[in-house]
Amino acid sequence: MSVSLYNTGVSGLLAAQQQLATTGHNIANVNTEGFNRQRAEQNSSVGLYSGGNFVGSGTYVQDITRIYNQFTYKEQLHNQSNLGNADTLHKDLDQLNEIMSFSGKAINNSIDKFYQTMNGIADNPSDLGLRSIVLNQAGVLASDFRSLNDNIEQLEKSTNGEILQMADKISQIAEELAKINENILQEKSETINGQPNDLLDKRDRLVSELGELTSVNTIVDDHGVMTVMIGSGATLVAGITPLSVSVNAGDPDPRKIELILKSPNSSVAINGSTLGGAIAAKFEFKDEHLPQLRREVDRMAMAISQTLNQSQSEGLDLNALQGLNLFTDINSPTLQASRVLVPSNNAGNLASSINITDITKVPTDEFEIRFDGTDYIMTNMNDGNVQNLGAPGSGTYTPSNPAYGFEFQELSGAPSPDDSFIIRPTENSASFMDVTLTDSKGIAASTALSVDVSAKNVSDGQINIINVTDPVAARNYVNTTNKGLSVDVYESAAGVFSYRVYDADPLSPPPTPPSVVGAIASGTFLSGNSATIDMPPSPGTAVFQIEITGQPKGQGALAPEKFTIGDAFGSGNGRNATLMALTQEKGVVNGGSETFSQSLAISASDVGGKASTAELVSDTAEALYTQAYNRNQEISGVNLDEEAANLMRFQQAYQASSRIISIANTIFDTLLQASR
Amino acid sequence: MRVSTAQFYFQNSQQLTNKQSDVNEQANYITSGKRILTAKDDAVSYGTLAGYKNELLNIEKYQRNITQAQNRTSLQDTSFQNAEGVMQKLKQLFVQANNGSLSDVDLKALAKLGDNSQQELLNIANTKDETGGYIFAGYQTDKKPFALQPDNSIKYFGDNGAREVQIAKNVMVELNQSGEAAFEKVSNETGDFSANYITNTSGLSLTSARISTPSAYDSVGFPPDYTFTFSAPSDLTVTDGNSAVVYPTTTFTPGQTVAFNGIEVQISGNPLPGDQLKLTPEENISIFDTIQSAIDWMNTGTSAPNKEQHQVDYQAILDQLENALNHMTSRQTDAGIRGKLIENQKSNHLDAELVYSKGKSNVEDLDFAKAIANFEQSQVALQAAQQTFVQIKDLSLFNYI
Repeated sequence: MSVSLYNTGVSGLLAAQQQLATTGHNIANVNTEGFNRQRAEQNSSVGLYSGGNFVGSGTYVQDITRIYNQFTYKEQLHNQSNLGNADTLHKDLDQLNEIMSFSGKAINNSIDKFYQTMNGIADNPSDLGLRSIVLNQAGVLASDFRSLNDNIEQLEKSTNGEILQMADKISQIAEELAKINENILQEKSETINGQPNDLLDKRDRLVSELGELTSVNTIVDDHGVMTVMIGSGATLVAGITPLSVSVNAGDPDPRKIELILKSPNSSVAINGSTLGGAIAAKFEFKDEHLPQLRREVDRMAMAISQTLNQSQSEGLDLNALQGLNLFTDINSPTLQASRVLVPSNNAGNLASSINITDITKVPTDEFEIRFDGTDYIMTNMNDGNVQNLGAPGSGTYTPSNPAYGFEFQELSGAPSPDDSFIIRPTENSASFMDVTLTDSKGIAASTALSVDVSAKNVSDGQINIINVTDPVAARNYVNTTNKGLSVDVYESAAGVFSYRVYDADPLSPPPTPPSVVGAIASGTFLSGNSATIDMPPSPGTAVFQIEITGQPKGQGALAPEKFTIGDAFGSGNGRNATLMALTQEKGVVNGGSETFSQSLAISASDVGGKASTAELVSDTAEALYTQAYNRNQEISGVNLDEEAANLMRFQQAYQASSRIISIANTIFDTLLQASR
Repeated sequence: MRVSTAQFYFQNSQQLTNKQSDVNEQANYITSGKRILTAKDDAVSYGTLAGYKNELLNIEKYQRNITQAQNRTSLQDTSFQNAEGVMQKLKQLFVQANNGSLSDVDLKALAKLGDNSQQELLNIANTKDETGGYIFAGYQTDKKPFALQPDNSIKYFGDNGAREVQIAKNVMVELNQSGEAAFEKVSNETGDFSANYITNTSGLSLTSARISTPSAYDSVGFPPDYTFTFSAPSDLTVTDGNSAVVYPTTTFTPGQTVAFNGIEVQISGNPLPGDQLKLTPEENISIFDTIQSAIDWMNTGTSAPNKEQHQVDYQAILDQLENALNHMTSRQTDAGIRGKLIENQKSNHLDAELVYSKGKSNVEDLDFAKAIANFEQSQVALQAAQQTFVQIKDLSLFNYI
C-alpha cells in the first residue's frame, strides 16, 4: 500500500515537474512571435482494485497541448493578407502622390514661364536676347518632363525589385515549411501521442509571414502535414515538397514582369494580381496606377510638343524660313516604331509603327492588334472595344469606330496568323522630349500673310488665313507669283455669297462682278456656311487656305466687300508668337477640353484621390487586423500574471507531492520499525 | 476577456505610433499654414485649387502684357501730341503766308520754316522705342519707315502690320499703329477724288466729289479720270477715261450737284466757258505730301502764273492741312482710348485677382484656430497614451512574488 502511495507521490511530482516546465516554457516565450501558450493536460491514473475498492494511483500528464483555435488563427491570417495588401498600396500611392504634387508644380511653373517669355516675343519679336530665353525655358520644360518620367521609371524599377525580393522570400518560406512538414512527419511516426507543439508554432509563424505577402490557405492532413496554397489555389507547398516562385521578364515589355511557380518538373505562370497580400498590391501599383500616370504624362508631353511644333510650322523665323520643330517631332520614325511592342513568340516578321494624326483624340489606353489569319483585329485593353481594321497589305489602317487619332502603319514584312502587337500610342513621348531648335532666330514669331480689310467694307464678313502648311511657299505665291491677292465677296442672290480671288496687280484690275474672267479662284457659298479656298488652287498643291465667314453682303456687284492678302513678314511681326502664346489657354488634350495645366491638375487629383482612398482602406484593414489579432491572442496569448499564478500553483503541487513521498517513506520506516 | 501580455504591448505601441503620427501630421499643416499640401489631402478641392492658381497665373500674365501695352501706347500718345503741335505751327505759318504784302524773300523764309516742320514731323514719324525698333513701321521695325526721296517726296517703306498681345481672356490689344494708318491715310477733304485744274480762268474750285452710291459706281465700264468741260454759254459735259460721255451736255447752275455714275460732285465758283478740270481718284493724301504742297506753294513766291488758280490751290491746301491736323488729333485720341481700355482691363484684373485670391485662400488656407485645437488634442492624446503605458507596465504579479 505504501508502495502505491510512493508511486502516487512520484507521479504527482513528475506531473508537477512537467507543469512547471510547461509554465516556464510559456513564460520564457512570452515575447516569441506567434507562440501559442501550452498547457499540460493532467489525467488521473486508473484506479487499482485492492481490498474491495478501486484506489486511485496518482496522475499522469496525458498531453501537452497548445491552446490554439484554428478559426481565430485563420481569421487573423486572412486579415493579415488584407492588411499587407492595403498597407503596401497605401505607401506606394503616397509616394506617387508626393512625386506628382512636386513634379506637377514644377511642370506647371515651367509651362507658365515658357509662355511668359513667348508673350514677351509677341511684343518684341526681333529681340535676340528674349528669343534665347524662350529656348532656355523650353529646355527647362522638356527637362522637367524627362525627370518626372525618370521618377516614374525609378518607381517601376524599384517595385519590380521589391516583387523579386518578395518572390524570393516566398520561395524561402516554402522551403522551410516543407522541412518542418518533414520533421513533423518524422516526429509523428516516432511519438505515440503528443504534438510537436513548437514545430507547429514555428510552422504557423512561417505561414503568418507568408500571409503578409500573399493570401494563404492551408489544409492539414491526418499525419499533420500541411499543404499550403497561395492566391486562388496555387499549391506552394505540397506536403514535403516545396515549390518556388520566381520572376520572369515580360514579353514584349520586359518591365512587365510575371511570376512563375516552379515545381521540380514543371513551371507555370501565375497572375500576380490575384495572389492577394502585399505582392498583389505591388502588381496593382505597377500594372495599373503607375502606367496610367505614365501614359497621362506622356500624352501631355506629346500634346505640348505637337501644339508648339505645329505653331512653329505655320510661321516664319527671323530668316524668313518656315519655323522648324521646337521640340522633338512626335512622329519621328524612332518614336513611331517604339509605340508598337512585338512579342518574341510572333512567328511573322511584320515591322510596324503608329503615326499620330490628331492629338486631341489620342487616349491613354493600351491596345492589342492581333492578326487572326484574315484581318487585323484591334482591341482596346482598357474598355474592351474591338475593331476590325482590315486585311494586311493596305499599308495604313485608321481606326474609326471610335477614332483614336492615330493610324497603324505596316513598314515591312508580313504577319503570321495569331501574331499580336501591343500598341501604346503615347509611349516614350516624355522621355524623348527635348528642344531640337538651337538657333534663337529660329523661333517663328512672324506670320507669312496678312489680311487688309478695305475701309469701305460695310458688312460683318471676315477673311482668315488658315491651315498654313508651307509659309515660305505661301508668301512666295502671294508676293512673287502674284502682287498680292484681292478677294471680293458680295451677296449675289438672296442668301448666296459670291467670291472671287484675283491677283492684286494694280495694272490689271479685275473685271466687274459677276464676271470671273482671269480669276484665280471663284465660287459661292450659302449664308450661314463659310467658304474655304485652297491657295494655290488645284491643280497646284495648296499651301494655305482662305476662309470667308460671316455675312459679307457688300453693296451690290459694283461695290463688293474687298480684302487684300499681302506679305506680312517682318522682323517686327510677332503675330505668330501671339498665336503661340494663346495656345496656353487653348484646350488640346482629351478632345480639346483640357488645357495643359488642367490636364496636369486632373492627373495629380486622380493620384491624390487614389492615395487618399488607399489610406482609408489601410486604416480599416489595420483596425480589422487588430481585432482579429486580439481575438486570437485572447485564446492563445501568454499572460505573465496568469503564468506567475500558475508557477505558484504548480510549485505548491510539487511541494505537496514531495511531501507525499516523504510521508510514504515515514510509513515504510514505521512498518520496518514494527517488524523488528 | 483574456488579455495576453503580447497583445497588451502591441496595442499600446500601436496607439503610441498612431498618436505620434497624428501629432506630426498636424504640425506639418500648422507650419505650412495650408490645409492642402498634396492632392491626397483633399483630392476634390485640389482640382478647384489648381483652377484658382491657374486663373491667378493668367491674370499675372495679362498684367505683364498690360504694362507693355501701356508703355507702347503712351509713347504713341506723346508722339501724336508732338505731331499735332507741329501741324498747328505749320497751319499758322501757312495762314500767315497768304498775305499779299509779303515779298518773295519773306515767302521763301516762310517756306524754309515749313521745311523745318516737315523735318520735325519726319523725325516724329521715325521714332524708335526702347528696343531700337521703329514704332511706326508696322512689321518692318528694323527699317526706317519714312525716307526723304531726291524729288523731295517722302516714301513709306514699312507695312500695315499691327502687333497684338492678350490682356484678358478674350481681349487682344494692338501695340502699335502702322505708319500707313498714322501718316499716309489722311482722308482727302474733297472726298474720293482730287481735282486737276487744266484751265481755270474763273477761279472755280472743287468742293466735294464723293462716290455717293457705291453700288452704282462702275469704275470698269466708265473708268476715271473724269474730265469736266465747261462750254458756252454755261454748259457742262463730263467724259470718262475712255472719252465717253457720262454726263451729257447740260446747263450748269453754279452751286448745283453734278451726279453721274454713282458720283456726286459739287463745284463752287462761276465757271467760264473753256474751263476744264479733271477728277482723279484719290481717297487719302499722305500728310507729308500735304506739307510739301504747302512748301511748294510758298516757294512759288509772288509770281504765280495764274493768280486765281494759285488762290484756289491755297484754299485746297489749307483745307487739307486742317484735315491732317484733325487726323493727328484723332490718332492721339485713338491711342488715348486704347490706353483707357487697357486701364479698364487692369482694374478689372485687380478686382478679379482679389476674388480669386480669396477663393484660393478659402480652399487652401488652414483654419488656424481649428488646426491648433486639433494639434493640442493630438498632443494631449499622445501624452495620455505615454503616461498610461508607464503606469500599466509596472503592473505585474512578478513584482510581488
